Amino acid sequence: MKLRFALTVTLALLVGACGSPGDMVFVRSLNADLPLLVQGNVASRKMVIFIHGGPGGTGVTRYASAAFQALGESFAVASYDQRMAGLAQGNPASDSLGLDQHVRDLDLVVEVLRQRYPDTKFYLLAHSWGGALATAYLANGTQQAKIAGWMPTDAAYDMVTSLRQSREWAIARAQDRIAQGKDVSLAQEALAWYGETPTITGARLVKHFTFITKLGAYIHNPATADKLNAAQVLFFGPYSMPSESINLAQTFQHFALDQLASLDLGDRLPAITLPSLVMGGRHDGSVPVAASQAIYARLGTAAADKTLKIFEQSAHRPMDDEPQAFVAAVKEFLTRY
Amino acid sequence: MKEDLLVRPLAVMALLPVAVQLPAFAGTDPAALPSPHAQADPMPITLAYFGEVATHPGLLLGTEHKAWEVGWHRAFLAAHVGGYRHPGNHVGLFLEGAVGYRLTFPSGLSLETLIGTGYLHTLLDGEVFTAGATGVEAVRDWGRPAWMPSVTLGCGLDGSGLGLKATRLFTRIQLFGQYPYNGAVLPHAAAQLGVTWNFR
Repeated sequence: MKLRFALTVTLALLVGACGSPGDMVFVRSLNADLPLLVQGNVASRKMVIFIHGGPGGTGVTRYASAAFQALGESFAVASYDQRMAGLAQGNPASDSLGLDQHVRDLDLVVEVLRQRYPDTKFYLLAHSWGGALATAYLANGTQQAKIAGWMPTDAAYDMVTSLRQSREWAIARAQDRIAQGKDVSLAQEALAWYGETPTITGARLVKHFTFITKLGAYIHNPATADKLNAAQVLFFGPYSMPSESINLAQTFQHFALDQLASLDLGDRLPAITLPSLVMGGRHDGSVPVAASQAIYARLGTAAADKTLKIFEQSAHRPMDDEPQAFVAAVKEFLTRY
Repeated sequence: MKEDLLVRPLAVMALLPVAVQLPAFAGTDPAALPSPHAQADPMPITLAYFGEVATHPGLLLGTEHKAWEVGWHRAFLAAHVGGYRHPGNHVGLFLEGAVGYRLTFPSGLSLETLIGTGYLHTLLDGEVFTAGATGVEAVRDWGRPAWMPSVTLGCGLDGSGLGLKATRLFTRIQLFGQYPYNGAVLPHAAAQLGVTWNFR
């Protein structure tokens, strides 16, 4: 009797346990296995492809966010994790990490989606470093022809300028904190470090990102920002915190520290003529809003087909700071194009 | 000729159980420090729920062999085979051996620790697509091999107090590694809840 009960519970756990929150497949590209999750309204024949930031962050985990779930009520949303990022597996060589290979990986992801979801229009939602990746991807005419529109969001296309502006933001924010008597020791430490660090490059990136995180560059109002359901994500989905941590460290060691700080794709923007919704958070301290304004100005897209949307209550992640406004802007764009 | 070829291996097989047990009689006076819960060891079978991060379900099947026992202290060798599924991420299949130490109190409560090494094979939990000669094609994933070092802490209870003769209930927390994972060691944590039966 007791044995039968134990076996029943065991089988129930094995068979009925949590499943994947959508249609999860893997894209194998040069020894990397990239998880690709599709959720939402695929019958709409319009699909957003989310290109995550970092580099080394995660896109797949976004399925649990309020913004993506709301977006999925009307349109399909595809999220994938780049090589050596998030939940990606496969043991690729560390020297395969580079912008060109990331572009090839993205093209294969797009081709997999085109095959699995025929007669569907695809839109790139490219966040932060993902904006640089999308810029490089769309600058190629053949690849651009596969996409119906794009939405660079707090997109980092010119890291040289953005890092300089981010440093200036951090100094100003630290001075504000001291004036308000808030986080004074952190602010003083930051000011001292930035005083000795005129340029953010290489190994200094880690310290810089640490400071701006603590100074509020990513989320404008932590009290009201959308937060993922930690228990759901950690225990009942495809997410693995150790995987994301390991991959982030590997990406930083083998790609970001060497190549990120010198990245400047500004000369490729005029080649992009797609309908464009350029979005940015007013209080973004990682990729300050001037970058979004510059993207809007330099795009090759006709004026009637491009929009600049600044979220006044957001920092680097408007999809978390103002999810309702963010979703409304995206839905309007997808409906129009 | 054929009979000669058969007799020798049969003789070895008949004598082997006797040979294995000789040291137990040769060295130690079993009455000197009797174990309060001496278990009959001929064939203990372990069956446990194996949950990677507790909620990614799996099963573990194993056995153990007493290597040394004095009083409340026991050192043992263990072997396990098992698997688990992390939905949307991977399926893990493993085979491991471990060295363990168990301290059993007169109440029947026991504490234990194991250090192990083994083989972990991971398969992607989803369809796999890649670029083929004529476009995108589905491919079969044969999985990836990995080295699986582990360390485990656990506690258990002699089941006889619950009317379960010759059994031991236990729970364990295991940390195990997966190498290589994108060039590094990926740590995992697992919870085990199971029972060991000591068959006579």
